[in-house]
Amino acid sequence: MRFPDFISGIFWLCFGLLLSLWSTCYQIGSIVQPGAGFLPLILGILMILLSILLLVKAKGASRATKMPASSSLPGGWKKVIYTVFIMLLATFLFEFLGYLLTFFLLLILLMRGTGPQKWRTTLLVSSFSAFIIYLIFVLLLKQPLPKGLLGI
Amino acid sequence: MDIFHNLLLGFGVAFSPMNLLFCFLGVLIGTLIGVLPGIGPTATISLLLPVTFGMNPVASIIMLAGVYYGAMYGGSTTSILVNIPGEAASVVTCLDGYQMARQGRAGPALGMSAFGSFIGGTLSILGLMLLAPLLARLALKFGPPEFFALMVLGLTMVTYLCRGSIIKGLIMAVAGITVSTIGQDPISGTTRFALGSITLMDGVGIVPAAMGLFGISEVLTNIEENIKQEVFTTRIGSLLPTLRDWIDSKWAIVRGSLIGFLLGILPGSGTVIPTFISYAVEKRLSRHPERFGTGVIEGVAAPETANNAATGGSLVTLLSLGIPANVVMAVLLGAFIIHGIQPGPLLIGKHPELFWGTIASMYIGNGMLLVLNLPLIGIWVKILKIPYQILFPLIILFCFLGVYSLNNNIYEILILIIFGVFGYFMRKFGFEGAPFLMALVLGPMLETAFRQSLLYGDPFIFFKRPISATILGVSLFLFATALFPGIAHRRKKLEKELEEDAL
Repeated sequence: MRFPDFISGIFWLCFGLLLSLWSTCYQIGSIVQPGAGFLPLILGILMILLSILLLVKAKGASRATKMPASSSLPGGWKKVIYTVFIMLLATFLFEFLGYLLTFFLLLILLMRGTGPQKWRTTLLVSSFSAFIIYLIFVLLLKQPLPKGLLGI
Repeated sequence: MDIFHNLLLGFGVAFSPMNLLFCFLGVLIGTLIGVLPGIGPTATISLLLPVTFGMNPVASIIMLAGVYYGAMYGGSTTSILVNIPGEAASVVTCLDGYQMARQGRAGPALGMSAFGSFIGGTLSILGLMLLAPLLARLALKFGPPEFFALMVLGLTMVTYLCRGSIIKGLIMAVAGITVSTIGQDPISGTTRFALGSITLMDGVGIVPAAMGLFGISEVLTNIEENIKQEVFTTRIGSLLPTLRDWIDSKWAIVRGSLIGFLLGILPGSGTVIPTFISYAVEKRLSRHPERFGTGVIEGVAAPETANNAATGGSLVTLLSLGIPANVVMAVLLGAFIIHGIQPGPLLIGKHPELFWGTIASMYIGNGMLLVLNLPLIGIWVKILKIPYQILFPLIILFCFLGVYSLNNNIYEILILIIFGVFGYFMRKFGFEGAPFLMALVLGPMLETAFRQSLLYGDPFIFFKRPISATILGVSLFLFATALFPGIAHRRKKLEKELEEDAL
């Protein structure tokens, strides 16, 4: 059995079931008078069929045909979780802190947090980038970015 | 004579100082992101969309098209010097390009890819100019069933041509159409699957989805794998190919242009597949196939010509039918709609300045790229030396900026991150993003055409009209070949042969 395909098959099967059920909340209509739920229902059924096909294939596959070995580093997933966390944090703080401060902190946290990086380079790149964004997006293109705490 | 008259109009538009400037900016940005691994034309065009809000539509389309074909030029630089393709369309160029660089012939390899790109690009614009108006005239006869059939063909091709399992490709396409149904139903106006969110009532935007799937997820994958860039340090030397190089590559360039353009028109084939096929063709036809992969110039000229020629081909269906042939075109379609222009059979007649202006600007842009690329290669090499650890936070930052400035809505940044994480897992499990995004863009059009067709009162309408029946027949045939074991086996064998040929 091919385990990754089995997991994704189960995921899409649940997705298809949920979609089919959910689409019945909307008007289905008839084949010559389709309503809002018509296409989603067809898609849900298609998804169920496709995921079953995937599951059957995953079950039938021998161990020899398993997925190519991943080239990820040991502990690499920690960096991925960290990066996603920082991105979410930046999103929620964006309007409160303002674009300048958020972007500055986002860059520092991402650069320092994912590997050894000199403080000098980090600070230089972060402040320079924040300044360039101010110059291009705010002064030149007049994009209304949230000002937040700093007020600029 | 009509074409010359129109082209004259086009050059009049393209040569205005503003449009020249934006054409230059487009090709420059395109080359830059082509050089940088991890950020491609899809994410960049999405990023630049909000910037074009205040510009006139012609200038914006000229710039965005410039990014697309500019990226094809830039991608080859990294393939040759670092053995890391800057773009997926330059993967094949690594094979012989990098070997040439190791033999001290990086200069002619870079030069030939620039000249090949120029020739391929220019020839394909010629094809676009001749073919698009013809196709548009034909498409005026199309009704909803024909458009539905065309979109189904597009999605079929994307799934058929994506690497790996076709079932996974189909799952992604179905998921993409499903996500496109979020928000208001195009016909009755009912809000679907919005979970009470105001942001979702307008549907999931193409930009956050594209940047998440192609920008953020790529970053997440790369930091996990910790890519190392080692730039080739020997001198690049003279960039001009020798006479011998030209003689060796002349047919590769001609065939690359034809293959690139013709495959580019096919919905779903994009710029990557033509490069593989043109390389394989050259290897088949060569008198010394065993030397391919050891640094022969034809191995660089063929794919580099083909990927640029494909950009012209893929614009044909967008500009004449309003149907994007690949993911980048899908985002470009978004740009047209933002500016209130509906690409389709009526575009050329309604907005001649846009159509002919863009075409003329592409001639100019290709010239600019040739002039720009040869002397600037030194700078691109320096940019390549920026460590990924500094680069990736900047890519994330630009994705944030691009998505936020579209509607000034932080929830769209959240959608960006969700799609980034989704894309990351999809990559892990061997699913591809292209069918998903194509389906997401085509979804609303597909649903409208589908439901309008059914309103004719006959569920078999699609098979009763000759054009739609033929197109759907082709799609069904493709599915049959992929899904039935006997034929699927032969397809796998063919795919393997093609890959072996390319390697």
